[in-house]
Amino acid sequence: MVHHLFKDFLENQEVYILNENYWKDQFDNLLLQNGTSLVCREWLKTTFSNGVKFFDGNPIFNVLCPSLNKAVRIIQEEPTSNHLVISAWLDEFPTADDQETVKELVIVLELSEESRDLAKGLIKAWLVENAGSEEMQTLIDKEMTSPLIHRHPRQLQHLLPTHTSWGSLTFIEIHVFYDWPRLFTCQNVDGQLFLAVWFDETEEADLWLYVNLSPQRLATIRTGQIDLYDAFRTAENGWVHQVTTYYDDRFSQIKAVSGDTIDDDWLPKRLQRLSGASKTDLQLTRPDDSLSQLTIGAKLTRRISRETLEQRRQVLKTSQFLGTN
Amino acid sequence: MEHRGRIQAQSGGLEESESWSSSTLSTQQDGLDLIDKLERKIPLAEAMVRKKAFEQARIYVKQATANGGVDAQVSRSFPKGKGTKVKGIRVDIEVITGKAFVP
Repeated sequence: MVHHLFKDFLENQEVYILNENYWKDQFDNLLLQNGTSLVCREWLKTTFSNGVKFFDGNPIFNVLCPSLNKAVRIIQEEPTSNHLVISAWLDEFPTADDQETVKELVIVLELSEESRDLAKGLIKAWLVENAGSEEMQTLIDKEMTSPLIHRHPRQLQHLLPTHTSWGSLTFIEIHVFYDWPRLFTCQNVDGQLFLAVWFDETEEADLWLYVNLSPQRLATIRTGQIDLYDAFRTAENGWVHQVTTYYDDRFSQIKAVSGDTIDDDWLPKRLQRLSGASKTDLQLTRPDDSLSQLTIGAKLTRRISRETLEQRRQVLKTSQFLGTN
Repeated sequence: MEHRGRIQAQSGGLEESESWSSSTLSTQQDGLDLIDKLERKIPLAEAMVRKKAFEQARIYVKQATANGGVDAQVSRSFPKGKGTKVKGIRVDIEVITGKAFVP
């Protein structure tokens, strides 16, 4: 449970201005309290050429300290839960003469008393203590793994839909893996084939699109004859399923929607094809033992080639899932 | 005057970008073309996890054009909003010098 500040900053422009000034005061006080004579100034434009402000918190605060050649940028998001939400990274911005780059600390947060204090700690290390990039990255990694920071606890058993009319599903092939499977084929106990793509997440669930496939259709998708967009948009039977899988033990939800009415934002981009996928599409990141036990159905159909099977074994052997934010 | 900037896809092991540098002003279409080019250039997994980011970047370019463009220096990171605070997986738009995305 955190204590949010300026919760409606995106709805009310007066609140937004107060929020901007709040960050400036926080920054000035931070420098004052630490007795530094550092001179810093705002350096990024937050308006369009006609003077209209962005008013979207991207960024809500920015500052450049020329003597250090360092900058800070804070991006503020609308609160979505009562959890602590904050993320940070280091970046570089080219100077106008291209002779050097400004080193930048970027912080993204939902503003609360708790995230503010974490952000100020990072800014203090970056500017007041003038931490080097490596040292700063270590600090960011440490702070961002705090148990206080909310993460979506993805578990293997919650990735595939459970307690639905489809019955138990097993992975056939994972085509795109980024922290967890994002695009894969799977089948149920009746041998029904599905292509599934992750398209969004909420505070409590992942959102997917599933489409039924015939073996012939699967073959044309795997070889890239049909792109991933049309695999869903022009479903064989005309229907696509919007699936919600919760991070906890709640039953998954399936809602059938006509393929031609799906929001484009939910679908893969046009012309993205499986045949163009390379090994780099299998992104493996930080391990998480809770999701390292991916198993696959013992029954392998003849439709899966020996090569594919071997690739899959390699993926499953090395895949380590991450329960992440 | 030189108008310069770049659009980047970053995080983890990825750092790909498309840049512009010209004495003529970049238009909305120039910006959208660079975003498309970058999205096609990166691996499928990287493009898929940045789908929302690319869409928001396109919307921003269009908003900029509708408001006369943007002047340097601008640094914007996408995606923004609900459920997007994931390990800095992002698309950045940086206007380094001059002006960009004019009508």
